[in-house]
Amino acid sequence: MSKIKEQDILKLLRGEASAKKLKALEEWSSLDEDNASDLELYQTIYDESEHLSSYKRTDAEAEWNQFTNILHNGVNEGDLLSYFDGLATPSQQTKVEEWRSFSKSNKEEFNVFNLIISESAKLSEIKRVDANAEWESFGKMIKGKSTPANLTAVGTAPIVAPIVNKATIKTTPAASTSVKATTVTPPAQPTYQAKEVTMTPSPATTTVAPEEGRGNRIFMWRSLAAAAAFLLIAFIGIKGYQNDWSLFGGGGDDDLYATFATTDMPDQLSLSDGSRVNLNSQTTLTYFKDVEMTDLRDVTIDGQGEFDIASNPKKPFVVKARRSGVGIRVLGTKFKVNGNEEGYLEVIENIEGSVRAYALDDTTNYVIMTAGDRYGFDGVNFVDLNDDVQEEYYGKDYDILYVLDYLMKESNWKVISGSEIEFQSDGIINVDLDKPYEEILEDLRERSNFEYVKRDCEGCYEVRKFVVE
Amino acid sequence: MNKSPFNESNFEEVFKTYFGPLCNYVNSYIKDWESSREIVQGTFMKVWENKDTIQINTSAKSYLYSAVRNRMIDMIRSNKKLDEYKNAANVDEIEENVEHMNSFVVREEILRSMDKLKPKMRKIFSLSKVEGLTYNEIAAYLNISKRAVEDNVAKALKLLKEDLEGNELLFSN
Repeated sequence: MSKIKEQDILKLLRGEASAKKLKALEEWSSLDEDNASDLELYQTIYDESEHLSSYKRTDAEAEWNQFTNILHNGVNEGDLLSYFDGLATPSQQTKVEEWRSFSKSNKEEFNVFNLIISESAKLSEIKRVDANAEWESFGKMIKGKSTPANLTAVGTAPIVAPIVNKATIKTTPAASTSVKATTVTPPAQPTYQAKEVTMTPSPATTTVAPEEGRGNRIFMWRSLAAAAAFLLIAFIGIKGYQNDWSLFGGGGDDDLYATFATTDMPDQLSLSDGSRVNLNSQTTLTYFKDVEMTDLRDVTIDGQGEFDIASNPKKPFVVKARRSGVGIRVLGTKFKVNGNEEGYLEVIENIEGSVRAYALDDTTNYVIMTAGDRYGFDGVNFVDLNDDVQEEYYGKDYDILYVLDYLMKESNWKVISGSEIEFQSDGIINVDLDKPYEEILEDLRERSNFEYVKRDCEGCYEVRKFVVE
Repeated sequence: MNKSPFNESNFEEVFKTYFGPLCNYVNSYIKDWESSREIVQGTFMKVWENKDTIQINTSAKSYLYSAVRNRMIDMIRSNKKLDEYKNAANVDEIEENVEHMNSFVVREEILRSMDKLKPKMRKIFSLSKVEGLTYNEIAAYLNISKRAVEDNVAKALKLLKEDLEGNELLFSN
């Protein structure tokens, strides 16, 4: 059988094939099913292609958006936002409420939005945990741990008396300080055979089984130590009162604050509130001695330091970098202050949480920094040192020629291009074309060098300038 | 017979999912982060030791919360005389507030979703919904239009919703 070429098939489809070719093609298509279906496909393409000129293409994504918009009763995220912000107009309010009650899925969707908004307002109270570092720390703790003396739960208590005493945990490096996260798989099942226990969570009133052995001894020592500390404080307090020691009032800052200075080597310092500071060399930190004695946890740094602040919503932590006149106020977070050696630029890098950095001589001059932010302070202004990030508001880039063309068509030529328009032919603009054309015009004016003037008719405009840069 | 929801293969995932929310939950009552960590770590230690023998008819999440809650209450009761948890909430308050703990899982998941947003959008959303700044304040502060702020917050809300709506942790017990 002669070889079948595309040209032969085309001739067949056009009805121009010779009798010989026709026979060859019939044989070819009857050879196997694939050939037959190929021929059928060729036929379909050939036939349907003739009708393509009258076929109107649709933008499936745009249609889908429109369809979901109908399902949403015209409610979009902006309406929902206004609704939750309490800024919705009566018609927006009605629209949202009707949409919510329209179906179960709308109600669920509404609840998710509501949850995000309501819980987001409480996120500032949340301290983030480096789960990988905590897992690593946990892996070290359970590694080689011997069988606890008493594994059997008493009654229905789920988790009984402390199994790891406080001293042990205190010596474990706080995982939250570890920036580098690695995964450590805990060791395999401990070799001891645990007694079979049923661990059902119980009411909190369950009597706790006292732990035997070391835990109790430590508990006893801790009790004694606490009692001794209490007596010592009481003694100092009485003596202080009798002798008017400045520790208990009437004294100056020297009694409340201490100074720590590094020389050629970096050093660490733990403060009385549990905060930790890593100080670089040649750095001086003046800090509060006792967190209970101050209304504010304030420290002054001259040099470079990395702060890991213990959360305490009642006592904000303030770092003052006097060299450049900048202050940082936080409730609990982690950040760095790097005094430039030239002495005028203080660089603040926020690692975790939020901080408010402000000018010491003008507290209204401030920036709010969220995790990952980097700002400098040059003595007068805050300088954004974050990498420039493209503002991504709409998600679609268009050639500006296309945008102009779209505006004209979409407005039924109410928008026109001015005869002397200043235009950047190679410009690209990020814009949302799903909006009404007048809103697009407004957006463009905000987001580019775009100028237009109103014409005499209703909704008519003339574009005079469209330059992106 | 009920099965243990904990085993060696899922323990890491369970730990990493709930450690943060549990610490924050405990810390919201005892106001001492390091002690909160100890309580949660200790609970996980106990669960690890008994993971093969624990028999419960609830989820791992419910179990962990009950266990941590009970452990916290026990710690407060046994230490309050020593002034260890002097800032801690009243035990009765903790006992009455069972639903409260789920919020911390939700907040952790919102934060994880926020991590996926573009930095600028995350910042604008955070300033608006976390820090509570008005749109005008954010616009002035970031030197952008109020409209751009609104658009960003609305877009962030949409992305967060899309990311979170299939998240079982938000609504499961």
